[in-house]
Amino acid sequence: MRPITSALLILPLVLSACSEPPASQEIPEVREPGDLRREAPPKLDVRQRLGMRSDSAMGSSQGADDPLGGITFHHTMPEGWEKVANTPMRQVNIRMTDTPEAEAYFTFLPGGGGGLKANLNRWRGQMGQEPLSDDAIAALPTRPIFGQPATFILIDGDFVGMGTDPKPDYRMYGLVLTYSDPQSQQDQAFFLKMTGPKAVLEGQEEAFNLIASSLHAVAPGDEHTHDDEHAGHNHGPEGNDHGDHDGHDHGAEGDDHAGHDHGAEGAPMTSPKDAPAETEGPVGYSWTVPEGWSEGTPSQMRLANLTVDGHDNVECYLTVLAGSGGGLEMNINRWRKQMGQDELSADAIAALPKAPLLGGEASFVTIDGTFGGMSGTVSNENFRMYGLVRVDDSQAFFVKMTGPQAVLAEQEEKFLAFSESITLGPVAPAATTAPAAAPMADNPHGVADPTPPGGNNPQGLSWTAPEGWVDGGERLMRVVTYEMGETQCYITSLPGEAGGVNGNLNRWVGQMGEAELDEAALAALPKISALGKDVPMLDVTGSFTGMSGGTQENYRMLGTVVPAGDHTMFVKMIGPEAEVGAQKDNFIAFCASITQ
Amino acid sequence: MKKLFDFFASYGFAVVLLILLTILTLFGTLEQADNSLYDVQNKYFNSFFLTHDLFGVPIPLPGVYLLSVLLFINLVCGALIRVPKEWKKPGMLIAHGGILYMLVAGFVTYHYSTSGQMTLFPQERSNKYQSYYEWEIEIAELEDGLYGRHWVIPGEQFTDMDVDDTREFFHPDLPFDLMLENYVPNTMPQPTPGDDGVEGFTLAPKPLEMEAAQNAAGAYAMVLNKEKQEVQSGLLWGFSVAPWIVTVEGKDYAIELRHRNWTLPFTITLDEFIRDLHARTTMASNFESVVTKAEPGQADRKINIRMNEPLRHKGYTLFQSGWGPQNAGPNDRLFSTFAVVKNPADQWPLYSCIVISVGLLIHFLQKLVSYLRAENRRRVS
Repeated sequence: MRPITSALLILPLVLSACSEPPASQEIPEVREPGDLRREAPPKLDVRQRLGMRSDSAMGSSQGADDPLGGITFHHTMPEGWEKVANTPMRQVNIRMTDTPEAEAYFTFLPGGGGGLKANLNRWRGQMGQEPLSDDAIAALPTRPIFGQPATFILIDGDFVGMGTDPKPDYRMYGLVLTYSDPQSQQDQAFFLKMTGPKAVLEGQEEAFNLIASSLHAVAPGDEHTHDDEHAGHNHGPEGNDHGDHDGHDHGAEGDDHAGHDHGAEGAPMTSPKDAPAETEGPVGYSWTVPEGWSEGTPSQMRLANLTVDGHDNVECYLTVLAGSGGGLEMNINRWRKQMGQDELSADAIAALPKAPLLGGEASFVTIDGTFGGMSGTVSNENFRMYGLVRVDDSQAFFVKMTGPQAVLAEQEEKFLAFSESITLGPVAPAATTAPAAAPMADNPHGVADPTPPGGNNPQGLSWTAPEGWVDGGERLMRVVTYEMGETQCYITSLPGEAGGVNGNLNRWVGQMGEAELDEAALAALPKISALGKDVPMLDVTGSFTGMSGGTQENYRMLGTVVPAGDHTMFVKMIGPEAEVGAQKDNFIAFCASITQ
Repeated sequence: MKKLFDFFASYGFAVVLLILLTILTLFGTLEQADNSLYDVQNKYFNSFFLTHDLFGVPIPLPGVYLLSVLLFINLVCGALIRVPKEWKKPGMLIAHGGILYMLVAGFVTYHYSTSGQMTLFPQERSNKYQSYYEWEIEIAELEDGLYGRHWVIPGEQFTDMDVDDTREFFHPDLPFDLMLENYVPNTMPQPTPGDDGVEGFTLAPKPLEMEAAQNAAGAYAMVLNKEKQEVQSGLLWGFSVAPWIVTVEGKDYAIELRHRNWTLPFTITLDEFIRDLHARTTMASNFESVVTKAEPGQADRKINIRMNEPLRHKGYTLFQSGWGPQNAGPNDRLFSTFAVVKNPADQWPLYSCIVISVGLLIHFLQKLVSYLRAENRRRVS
């Protein structure tokens, strides 16, 4: 056999050895301390570690001290309002002089802050109201802030702010502007919010409009005293507009102008407990697996993870990121780089063909080349990548498929069909009304759903949400989050043992500022049912210190850890002691409803 | 086999290789207008193959690394093996040998050299230098207020991760595993409301910088304790000012994503940094460092390191590369930055040039003598 023929025969074997790096790798290098030993650093909180001021709320460039670079925000002060000290999250902070519980503040967040939908529904949850659909959010009116149209929302209800007792008959005015800076290509979010007793705030909408219309940024060294400039009378973009019905939150089906928030049946709701029984169950992503494809194990970042039968080197997956995920151009060019190709110009990217994805149009890209990953250490020659990218106000959606060109050429139609089949929401239509006395709302997933939900639900869990629990939207590393007042209850699923039952229970005990439980105490914990098993339930009251580092006094935590084969499920409820106490039965029932 | 040998030994092949090298040098130079030097070097000069975009047309080309290997083979086959060897005329043989030596120097430099920087304020000392571009994750045991044993995950094991990849790292001597997720090569931590993100921050991807050393990598990290199996999550960011410290089984560990560190076999202490300014300007006319080099078993030695007069010792070269902070006032405390290079083939290009020169000199002298003799014979006849 000629040497050149031998080389050509060996080459595929060599190339085939260039496979994906293993998911678990041993650390190769261990160094002993030398004679010159460094002093151990102090244990700093995350802001100090990242080089930010401890009272700074903003991100910064390369650890700079003042992330806003000294920029301050100013506005015209409405009559009857006064300035209070700014806080890390409030660059403008004012309250009514005679009614201090009526307050208004402005927050600027680089990075998008979670996006429009997530924040509007978070506010709705704070007021005890149901989240709004995309259509309802799109129908909300806009008002200008910094010369840009911001989404305006008016919400009446019982206000439960951070760490406060519920305040009945409150009103909230809110403005949310999400913006992509064209120079830095960074997402930014602006929030203006006013809360107070409804009877007081009914006359303050013009004051809110005045703040919004007069708000402006001042560069360092160019300080003004706009805050001292009080308005003689309320101005607004339309003058005195107390009767501006456009500001009311009409909800999904339309509401009257008195501020009552009606549900689907038209019955007025004054509290979440009166929510109609067809409250939505958990939402998730679902799709149709093309013929000849198989589903692999999803991960936290790959909501759908598929391959083509008989081709282990072909993969296709769906990723959803909060915010812009880096944006269209950056991701398209990142993929092109992975394929060893040069970047496309903005014009070329704008001219890419479109394909449907999750109710919108996504940019579709086909890239041939050598698939080398981020650093080029992997080398898969003659590969092809199909990619779909869609970025909306609050999320970015990616569908990506890679594999040998010859294989992918035959799969293009199926790739597009799969992408088009991806949907978000309950798979089945909403269930029929249940009796008002029933503690649970129907959940279509809990009834019969052969297609496991997608989203952050790689294990295909299903459950029934208790009445009154409000979907808290998608959160990183959580299968689902529910909110009820100031209290949250969420499910997390991690691969493997993830720390084990006792280890995690004691970690939670530590978060509540209490001493660890010994073996006997752990064994004596009451048992509840979850995933069909009897598992211990932790019930502890104390001072809660969460992952963000803030401490909440008089909090209560309910939690359980459920080993489930190749993964471990965590269900945790945390909130003010009284609220959690009132939800304990619901927590137990919720855990019992979780199946896989 | 002979045909293959003849092909690799041919002049035609050599000419093609040299033309391709010229083209790549041109393209690589032009590319630096849009991309960082580091990225261009990796794409054009450190690669086997690449695709160059010429007016929107992608052109596949061999990389300089591959061309250098082929040129080496061509020289060995053509200039050493096939060429008729007359030991009375060794000039071209020596010259070609010098070229081969230079190619070997390039190979050794690429695979075995390291370079980085060391920055010291006066009276500070260090025996470490840091890469400008490469990353590593260090997990260090903290004991008695000092850094102890440490485990190092080199960048090659995680910089190829996509943002949606998850990778776990373990060592039998470590009581926990480290899981990485959401690796991004250039990012800035953004605060996020509520309990979203990790430690209240998310890592928003940023486009790569023109100056590659300004990229700040980041990733989410999770510590999985094997014994008590606790789980702690944290943020790793390349421009953090302090490491993430976790406590596992009563011991503290500092986990840090940082530029790759190497250790010198000696310690440098900056005794004094001297900066002279041009009169009535803030432009430096001269800057140099007075350092003390210390190593076990040898007496300390005071050395001046200045521009064009580096410190060379045990295969390491320390150049005076810069100082700061910029716009420092007359009374501000200044630091000195050294570029540190370890290259076993540091002087080989110089030696190879000498060898080539000697070979050419011998060859030209022999040609001259031969010509003069022929002329003499012609006149005599």
